[in-house]
Amino acid sequence: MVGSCMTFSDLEILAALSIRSLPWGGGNLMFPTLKYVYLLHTPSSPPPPAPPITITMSDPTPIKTLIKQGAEAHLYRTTFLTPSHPALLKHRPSKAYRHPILDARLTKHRCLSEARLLVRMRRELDRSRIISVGERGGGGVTVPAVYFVDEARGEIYMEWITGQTLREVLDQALLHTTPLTSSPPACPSTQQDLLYLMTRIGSAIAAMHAVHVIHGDLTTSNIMIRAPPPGAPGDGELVLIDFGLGAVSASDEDMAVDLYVLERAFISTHPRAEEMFKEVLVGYEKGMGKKGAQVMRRLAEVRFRGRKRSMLG
Amino acid sequence: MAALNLTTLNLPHLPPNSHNVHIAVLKEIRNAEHLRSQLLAGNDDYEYAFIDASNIISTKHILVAVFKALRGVVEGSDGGPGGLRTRNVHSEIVFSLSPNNNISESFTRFGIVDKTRNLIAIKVEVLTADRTTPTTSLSADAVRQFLATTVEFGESLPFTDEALYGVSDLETVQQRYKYLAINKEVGVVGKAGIKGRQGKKKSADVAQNTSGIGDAQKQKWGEGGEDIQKDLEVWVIGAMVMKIVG
Repeated sequence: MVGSCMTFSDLEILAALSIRSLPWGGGNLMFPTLKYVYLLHTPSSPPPPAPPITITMSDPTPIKTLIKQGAEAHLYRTTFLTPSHPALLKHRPSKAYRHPILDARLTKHRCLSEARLLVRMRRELDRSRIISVGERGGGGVTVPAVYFVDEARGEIYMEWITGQTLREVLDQALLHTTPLTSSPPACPSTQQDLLYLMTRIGSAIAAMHAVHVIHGDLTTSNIMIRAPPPGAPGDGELVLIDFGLGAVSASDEDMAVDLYVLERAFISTHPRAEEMFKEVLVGYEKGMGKKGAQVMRRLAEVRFRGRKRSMLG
Repeated sequence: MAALNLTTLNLPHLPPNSHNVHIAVLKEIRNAEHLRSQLLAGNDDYEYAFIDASNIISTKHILVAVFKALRGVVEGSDGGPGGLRTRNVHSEIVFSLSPNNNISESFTRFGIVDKTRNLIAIKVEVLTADRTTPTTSLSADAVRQFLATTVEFGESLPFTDEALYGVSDLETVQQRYKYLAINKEVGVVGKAGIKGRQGKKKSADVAQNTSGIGDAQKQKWGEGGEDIQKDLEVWVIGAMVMKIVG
């Protein structure tokens, strides 16, 4: 289980619209990037019909850029339906060392379960986002939208998130001595902001657990902070990514293990991050309500004995 | 006869030049009954995806369905996901819109019915290996000709989010995709101003897809309508791709 999944830590900040500048400067066409568009009129009324507007794209094949490769899947930046709509393609290539039938079944199953979890969770979070957002307005929690799934090929097309991973934010905030004022928008600029971000992350995880979803591989690379749109006030929305190891469960143990995994990730990357993680737990307990204390107790147990997987059943 | 807008397009992530998709949005149609009966009778000339526009919230909604159907047809031959589950690519488009696996139900819910007033007509032209059209009856001109003479319509709208939004019935969409419970909650919050949604409001995605229809959304949804519509669209696409609404 450990280390078998993808991380998104190398996602770059890319302005959503700057990926491919439109050759004719945009215009008001609905589909500026389609291969061609006819706008034709039946020749019933004068004036005579204008000649069809034909737009030819130099390259109708969408660009696929590999941005990350893990043991389980390859991540590409690409587009969906129209070249102006950025998307992430998660592709699970077939493994030559597995029997073809088993390989196909595993790929299909993992693809479907991940996508299903994302779709369901997105809806649940839409519902609870209003409650879970930070007190300063904005900055709720969500998961990427699923655009398309081709389980036979092992492909999931999903929303492209513009922003930074928590890991990148922590790196910048804790390791670099560069003045924080020059940091990108998603990066908190003061110590207080950083602690507040941790609280929000705690409540984001609580929101996920509240709908009985277990992430399975909660690391600092799997939590993203969406870059707020330029000029907009408030904090960037938190986006939980990579549900490849996700599951549905309401047990304290699974929730505690999620937190434990995240704690290990915090501690192993930054010595100072331990104090940060305390804030995460504060936000989590607050967000979980009554169940929070139970999970905390369980977390203490898990810390003591390490992560064990139940081998029952 | 009114002028007819026909949009012809090519979708990415399919073999290049493998297909053309012709789409027309026709308002105030008067002979839905006739179109439907011909469809049921299996008249090949009427082999179109005729979709009741009240079920559709955006161009993306439609295009995902077309994409899903086309992946089956165009890629099916080279070992991709198994071809079609319905009779042809056009019925497959209608079926793709459904959030579950009930084929006949998908036709009555998303396809043309006798009382359909606003129609989205889609014709897919699947090109042969040498990238030429197999029959001339499928070309854009032929499609335009056919629709103009066969469908009695009041107005032909462009295939844009704005136009589709104008003819969609959000209540129906929510019912079809079982999103009602959420809307009720959001409605309550809506009165309080949906404070927490500020941060989300102008995310790149929203700005890109729903630009220019904010006012219409506010009328239909109240304050914060853009976000709610965006949320609904995400759910609708997820539900139809995963077929998870029982």
